[in-house]
Amino acid sequence: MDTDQAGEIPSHPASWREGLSRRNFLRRGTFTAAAVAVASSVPGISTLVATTAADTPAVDTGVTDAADEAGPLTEPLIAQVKDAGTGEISLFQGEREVVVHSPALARSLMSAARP
Amino acid sequence: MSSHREAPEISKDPVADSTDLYAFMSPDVAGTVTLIANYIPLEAPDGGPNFYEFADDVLYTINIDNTGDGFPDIAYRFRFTTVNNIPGSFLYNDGPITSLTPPSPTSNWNRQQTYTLTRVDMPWNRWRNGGEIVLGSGLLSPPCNIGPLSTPNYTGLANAAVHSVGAGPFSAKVFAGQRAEGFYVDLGAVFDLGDLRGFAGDHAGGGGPGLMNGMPGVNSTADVNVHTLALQIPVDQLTRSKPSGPGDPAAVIGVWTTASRQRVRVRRDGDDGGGNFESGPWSQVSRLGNPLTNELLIGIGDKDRWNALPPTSDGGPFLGYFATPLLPQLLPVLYPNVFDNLAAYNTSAHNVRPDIEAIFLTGIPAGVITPAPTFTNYNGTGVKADMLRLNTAIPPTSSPNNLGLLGLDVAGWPNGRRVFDDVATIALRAVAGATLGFVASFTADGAAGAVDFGLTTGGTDLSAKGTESYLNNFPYLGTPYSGYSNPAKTPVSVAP
Repeated sequence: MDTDQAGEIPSHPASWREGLSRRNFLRRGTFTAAAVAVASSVPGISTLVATTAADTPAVDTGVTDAADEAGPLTEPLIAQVKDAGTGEISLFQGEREVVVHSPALARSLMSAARP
Repeated sequence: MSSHREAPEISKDPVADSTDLYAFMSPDVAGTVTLIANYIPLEAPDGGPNFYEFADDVLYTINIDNTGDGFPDIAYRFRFTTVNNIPGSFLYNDGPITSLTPPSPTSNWNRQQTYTLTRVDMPWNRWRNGGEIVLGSGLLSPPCNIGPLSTPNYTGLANAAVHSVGAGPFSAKVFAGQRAEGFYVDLGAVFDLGDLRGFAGDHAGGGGPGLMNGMPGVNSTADVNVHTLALQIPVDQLTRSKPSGPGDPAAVIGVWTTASRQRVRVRRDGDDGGGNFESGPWSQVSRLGNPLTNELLIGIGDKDRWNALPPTSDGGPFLGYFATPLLPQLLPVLYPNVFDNLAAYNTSAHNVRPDIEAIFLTGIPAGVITPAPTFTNYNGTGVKADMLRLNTAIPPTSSPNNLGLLGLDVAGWPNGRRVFDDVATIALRAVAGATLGFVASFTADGAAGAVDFGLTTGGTDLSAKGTESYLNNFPYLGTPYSGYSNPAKTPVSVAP
């Protein structure tokens, strides 16, 4: 699974200098090096991905378990499946967007959303 | 209009719709720059009970480029918080609002806003070494001007909303609240196929029944209010270094304002409390640098996209709108035999408009304006990006001309912009060819130096109808029209 983050100006000046051009920074705010840490800091995201990566059919249960393990969900988490084929999913929480690439998670979400 | 309702999407989101941007050397406080960004177009003064206010879910920003590369080096961010002091009341106020006090359940003022102002020095702004600093929080905005019984001393309330803030090496004077609209233009004429009332008899359509040359204009933005974000900042906190003089590119700053919303909005149903919540990174929905750029230059199919992109995009996908704008093509058609030289230029092999590019995208190099050869607000790099460029080493003039640089007043637009500058007329004359001769082999038609909107009596007239309430000091825009005075449309300063 790949992760990526798009966000606003980072608050700590030490976090931006390396490997950044100002053009990339403005366009997307992509921080590959920091992405894993950021993803795991979003309550529930990393655990949810790990749970569904094994094609766990019971997504509702997986979400509940993830929340239990990561602590209370302080802010709503919104997922947007952008491409089911590549598993590209944007996860929005607070002022962050985390992009994950997980076909298994995409399949699980689509399955859960099926009427 | 300058930028009121200028694009399809933002016209449906007025709280995020920037209307005008001003940047000028403060005439009354030496060594400071005043930046004013207005939002919420065409506020009806009596538009209650939910009077106009900034949005809690919008990030308002005033950006400054001090290196000429088209990217922000400094940003001032405003975030608002709104409270209902008296949630059981349907009224804006349950009694007279006589003082500006923090939100309280005992207040007569029901719907109240406070805000946080943050200065952000971008990571690449090596001069400031990056980082962000909160200059002030819990800052009080004034109420809207409701009327003599509700806001009996409006001037006092507004004055109390001018805050001096600072943290670390930075300081500012700040105001955020309602003001009288200061921009003036004849919209009815512009959008009725450019039927300028003063020149109606020359229009291809004959101007219409009873119309003839010499008719006065109608100020479409008179007697309405806006919401203003105003800053007054020591100039040395904005420039990249101390400039050696007006010819030093370090003296030039580029300014633009943006409004952003978070990427995702979810509407709660009534059982879940109603309202919305937002999530995700901030996404730009409104942009404004020079007046009239998105209004008159950018095609309607690109306006929403222009609002969502940074100024550096102007040298890319939008460059054609500046290099060969549509309006100069239309003028000779709308006014036959009036703009013959312009018509010939339009059909020549080299019909691009470097003057428009200089005014809007790069600033004007020294030596171009022959009557004022030392003037420049060139960015020093040639990077094309729509910004309001201010040469901070040019002092304010004591005898201003509302035609700015066209009136040989180098302290006015397009060198920054003052509240009284007649930017609609300046822009109209420029696109009609009045500035083209400075940068190309071209002789302007006589009409290019004469067309106007008929709203002032001349360059030294700083009191176009509906704009008579400018202030001589911060925040410079006048006391907002009160709801009770509407539709008498009398400034509260005259009839409180």
